Amino acid sequence: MNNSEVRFLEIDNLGKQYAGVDALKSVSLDVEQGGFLVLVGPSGCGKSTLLNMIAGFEPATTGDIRIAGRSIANLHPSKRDIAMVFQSYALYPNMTVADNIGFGMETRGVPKAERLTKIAEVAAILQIEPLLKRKPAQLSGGQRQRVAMGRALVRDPQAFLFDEPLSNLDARLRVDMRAEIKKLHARLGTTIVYVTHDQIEAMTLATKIAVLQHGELQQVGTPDEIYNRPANTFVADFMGSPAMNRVSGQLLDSDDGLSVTFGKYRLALHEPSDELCRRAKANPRIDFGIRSENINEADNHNGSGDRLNNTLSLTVELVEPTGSDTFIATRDDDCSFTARIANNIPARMGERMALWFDMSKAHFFDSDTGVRVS
Amino acid sequence: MSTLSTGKFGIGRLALYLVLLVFAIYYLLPLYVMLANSFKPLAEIRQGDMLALPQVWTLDPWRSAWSTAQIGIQATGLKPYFVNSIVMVVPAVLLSTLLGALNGYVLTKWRFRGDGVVFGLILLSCFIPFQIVLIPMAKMLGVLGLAGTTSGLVLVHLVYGLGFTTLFFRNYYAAFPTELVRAAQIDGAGFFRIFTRILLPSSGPIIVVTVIWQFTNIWNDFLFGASFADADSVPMTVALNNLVSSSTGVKEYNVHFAGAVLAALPTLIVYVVSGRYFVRGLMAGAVKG
Repeated sequence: MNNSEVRFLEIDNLGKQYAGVDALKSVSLDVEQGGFLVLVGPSGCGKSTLLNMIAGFEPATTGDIRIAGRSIANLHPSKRDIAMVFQSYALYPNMTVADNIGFGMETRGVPKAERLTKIAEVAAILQIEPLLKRKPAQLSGGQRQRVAMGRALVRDPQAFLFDEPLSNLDARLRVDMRAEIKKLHARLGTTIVYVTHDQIEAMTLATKIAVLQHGELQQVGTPDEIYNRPANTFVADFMGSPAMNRVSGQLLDSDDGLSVTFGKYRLALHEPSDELCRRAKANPRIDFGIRSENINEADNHNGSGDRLNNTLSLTVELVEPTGSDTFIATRDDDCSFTARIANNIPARMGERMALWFDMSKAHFFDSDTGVRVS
Repeated sequence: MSTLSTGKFGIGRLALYLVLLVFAIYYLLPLYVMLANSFKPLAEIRQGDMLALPQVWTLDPWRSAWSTAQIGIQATGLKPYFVNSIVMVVPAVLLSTLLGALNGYVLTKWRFRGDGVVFGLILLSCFIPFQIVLIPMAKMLGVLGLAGTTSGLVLVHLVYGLGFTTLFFRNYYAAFPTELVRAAQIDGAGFFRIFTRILLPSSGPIIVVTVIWQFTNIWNDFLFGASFADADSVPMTVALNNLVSSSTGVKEYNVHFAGAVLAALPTLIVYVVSGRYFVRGLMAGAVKG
């Protein structure tokens, strides 16, 4: 019993085929009540298909969907007790904002007085009271977004579904609305399933992230797990900006401990796991990955007692100051890296620069399967 | 193009206006001849100058054409036939537009296996010449007991118009966001409520296009009217033909001109009233607004 309370929304071996092609391959996934599940992946990965199946617009080929233990897979969208915010907002163009929000109640025969009260409540939460009499065409993108959320909110559903709700907004507004959605979630405590292709949205909003690729679930986990322990090279590459640095190299077991080599370079490992030691002997080929924030200017760390002195002298190809930090892209015959250094460190294109690799944050993947080696 | 728009009174612009003027006169001349001669007494027309304005203005030809002229064997004028046409056109236009909208809605938003084939077949009906269906249609009207009735004519025009109205609405609704239909589904709206509350209110331009198209075609139809109408359901176009081609007595050209203008008047009014929507509706979906 306790178990079913933890798994509020359950997706059980859900599969979808279009004309014999797998759009979704037997995905199993669940989210706790009040959780914020983000489905993320590149376009065509099946995340929208999955959301549409939860909403009930597309029937499942195999598997089941349950909310609070009750199967909803065969129910009409209106009977699933869910509300959805669409990418295009999908506001009814011929109705006022108030009628848009109240349309669902109207179809369910809620008396007008009650409808008006509820519309007013929702409008107050979203601060759209002055807009209630307007038509969608008279609203800005951000306002439309709010109205679309209002229409979902007024239903007081078991779960909200968001289909890339911020992708039509400009960058500034997107950040604002992202924060608002997060605050709203904290305030309402309603379970949310949210689809995006933007990994930053996924990281900032989710309590749980599911990464999809080619209709297959790649990894499910907290944002921290996804970012710091990516299950394979796809997740490692997809999550994080700039993308994780990856080079193929060899594990080398020598007298002074385990290290990874690529081309003429060599970096020593901190506290190598047994698995890595075993691989060094059996099959030393390995994919080595490290995020840009774990490659910094060497000066800071030379004196701080990094006993391994993992410093490489690399040629700077590109300097990209972002204000707070500066990104350095290096390139030579054997490897290319993006490093993140403090903004006050001088760096010039074409010059060599000493960069320190924090190997305690290094990632390793099987060079054939791309699966994480821990 | 840019040379035309550089100077307000440039030589190019002047030439452009001249050409436009010539074309306008060319196309308006027949209308002028009809109107000018419909206000002349018959004696004046016989003098031979068709292009002259009336020396004596008279409304008699109009009165005659409307209510007293000999049509076929009865001297009723065009009035009863005008009424016949209205009684036929209005339901035919409304029904074919409504059914076309419903077809378009189903073909775009409630797609089913083989919907493309169904649409293709409906579309095919646009290319069937009228003459081919005359005999099977007559047979069918006979079987249905609608031969010679106005209802029969309404049915013929409804069936024949459905291909075009379906095409219009299908293309219009293809650009209508499916997410709106989904949002309404989540809001609990069913098939007809989504149609009447979400799609129809947004269909203004295409409804106007369809109504103009159907009205013009059905009002101006001669073949079906001549083939399937009985004495009491003869439409305006056929009556006009009977008026003009009656072989007894003097040819009253002034009355014929007045009758022709009367027959053309309703379509003219429909165009003037809603013409600007026509262009707007045809362009809808062509450019992303």
